[in-house]
Amino acid sequence: MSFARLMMFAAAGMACAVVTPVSAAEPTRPTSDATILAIVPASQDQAAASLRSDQIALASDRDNLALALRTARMAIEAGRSAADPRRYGQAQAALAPWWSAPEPPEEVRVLRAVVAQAYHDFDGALADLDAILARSPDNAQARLSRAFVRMVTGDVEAGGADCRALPAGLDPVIAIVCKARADALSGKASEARDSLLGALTPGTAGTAMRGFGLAVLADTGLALGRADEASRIFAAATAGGNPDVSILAAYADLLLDGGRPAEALSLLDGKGNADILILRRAIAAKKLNDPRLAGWASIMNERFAAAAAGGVRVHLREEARFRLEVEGDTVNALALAIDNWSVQKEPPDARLLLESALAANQPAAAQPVIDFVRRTGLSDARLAPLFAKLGSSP
Amino acid sequence: MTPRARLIAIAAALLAWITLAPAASAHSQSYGYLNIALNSESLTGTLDIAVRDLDTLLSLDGNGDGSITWGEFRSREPAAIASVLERVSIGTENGACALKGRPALTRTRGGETFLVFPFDGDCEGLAGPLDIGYRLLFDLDAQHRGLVNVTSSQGSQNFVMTPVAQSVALTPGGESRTGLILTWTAHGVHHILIGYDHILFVITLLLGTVMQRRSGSAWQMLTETAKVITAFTLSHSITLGLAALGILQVPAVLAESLIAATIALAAVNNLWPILTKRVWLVALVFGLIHGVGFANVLTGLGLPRGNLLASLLAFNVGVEIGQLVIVAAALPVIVLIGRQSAWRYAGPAANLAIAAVALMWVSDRALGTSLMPF
Repeated sequence: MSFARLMMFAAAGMACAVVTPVSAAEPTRPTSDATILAIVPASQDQAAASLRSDQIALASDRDNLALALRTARMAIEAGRSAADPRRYGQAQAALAPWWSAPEPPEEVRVLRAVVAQAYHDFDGALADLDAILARSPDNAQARLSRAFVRMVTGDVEAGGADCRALPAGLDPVIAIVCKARADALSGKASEARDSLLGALTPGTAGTAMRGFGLAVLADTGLALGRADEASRIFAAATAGGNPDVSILAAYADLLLDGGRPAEALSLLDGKGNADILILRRAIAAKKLNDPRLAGWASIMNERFAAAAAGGVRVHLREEARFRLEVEGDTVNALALAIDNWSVQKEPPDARLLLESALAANQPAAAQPVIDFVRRTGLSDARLAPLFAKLGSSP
Repeated sequence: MTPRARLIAIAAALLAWITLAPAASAHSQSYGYLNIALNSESLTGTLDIAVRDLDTLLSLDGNGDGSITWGEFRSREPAAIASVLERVSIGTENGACALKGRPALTRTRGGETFLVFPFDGDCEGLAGPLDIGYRLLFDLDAQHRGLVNVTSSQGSQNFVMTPVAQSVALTPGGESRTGLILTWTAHGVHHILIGYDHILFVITLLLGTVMQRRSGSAWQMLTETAKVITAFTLSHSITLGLAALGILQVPAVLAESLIAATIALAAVNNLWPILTKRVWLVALVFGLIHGVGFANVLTGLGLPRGNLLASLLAFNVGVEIGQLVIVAAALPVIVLIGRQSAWRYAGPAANLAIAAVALMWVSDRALGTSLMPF
């Protein structure tokens, strides 16, 4: 068992940690049988139905590795597309018989890394991925995962090296998207855009990689100041039913940045209650003086309080942004943005720390971002005006 | 695409998205809330579980239309109550408590509807060591967390239950007594340090002492101050004790108004000794009123019934510590200014200002005006 993992279990084992209680309203008994308590996937939702039936089968056959892997993969996919952390917990539960093993089967270990990364335990994820790749350098799934975990944690160069080391014989689009992302994060956004435009030909339509490649292209476009191009991609990606929650959030950010909060609100209307969507609704409502702001803000605050009571720290980015843009609490926003930067270092994290440092009138707090940008060569149109305000050009 | 390439492509889609929006920054994680209130011979409690989570456990959407209605839940209510309470255990040295569920309720937490399962437990040995177990959902969602709150005469404790920590042992008394005393001492310190009126009263007493003993030696000044502070401590401790034990009952509005009045009177008395020249006597008599004020705060905080006297004493000790901090900070300043020639004007001006502030407090508290910001 790696040290990081051991620490994780030790931390989880400290049930007696003293935490603050979470307050709640007085409960009541509904008077009408028609009152809707919750919306869940309907029975005709194939993916949700087969996940459910696999979970039920697994309950009486816990050591069935093939079934457990299939259940965990489905749960992870459901978690990703709906930005729903409960699904990652369900994936972990499916893998329970192997979860704490020091050397679980390689396929379990990759998924353990995916779940760890979803809960922002990047060290735990890297420990597993390093171990897999030391033994099986051609494990494409592990290689690709590590490339992106390294990029998220700011180790862009090593992430790019993983992209270049992806095994031959793989769908070439995967390697191109991976490399383009690494390029976009290290000052070569223009080249990244060109190679994505060349690779994402109409022939790739319908493939799983195309959706992701387009999202990388849109984000690269935003880094280059091409908001219109990004807008077109996002609009197409969210036009169908059941759009990806992460893309909805990225599109809402584009609209908010463009001074179009009303459009952001209508984009997100009826799209569910993921944290990242409620946060953006609250920001838009604040700009519009919309009366629904109070309700959304209190939902966010209740969720942050529950996470604090449970010792969960995956909300740093969202909480910092909420404190800054919704509550105007610049002191706590900056403290959270600093904490968040110690965990993840993507352009939105850099932007958050710069904005919080400016708002709190503590330009020195932005120094880690300036150093980071100098080291990686990151160039992003969303950061440039902030550097100008700070009077520093990295 | 070959099957292998398809698998990798799907994996890529899964893994790669983290770059643009962190995957778990999401809906909401799964939390269950177990609240237990212990009395000496019985217990009551509530277990809150999100409707979505109960659906994961019991498949509540009977007609499969994607909406779980109250009616759908109600048709399965007895089974649901049995099923969730079976996953909670409260054990004493005499054995496990039988938990009896009452009709379910609902409430909203973090924008999600939760089902609330109230229950009663009838069992012996609740005053002794307890073992609380919580194993809801862990076999289906390994990131589920149980937030447990236990309230008793000892106070309130919180725990987080996880798949690797599904139970917690509670030992009454023992080490928690130290914690209790520290907590109540801290309450006492906190209360006097945020109580502007009490601080102002102590400063007024110090002003009076310095005005009378300006020419005296430092030693005389110190002994006189000690006499005044001791008198104040003695008298407010008496009424604090009597009021906290319920023997003396004074409405809060009256006590608060009288406290403000004592400050005004003490300040005026510093200039024109209409009451007495002895500052310690002022402290002794008016201290009785301040003690009632402290007691009202204490009632608001809810003294633990099981350790009433210990907590009361600890609170009082905290008040005295806070008071000494104020004296230590204010006395040197007042003495120093007292040595300046400008004192002839500054001393009376300070007393008049205090009297004015205190009179506005009297008006705010007794008549409901809002002349003062606090």
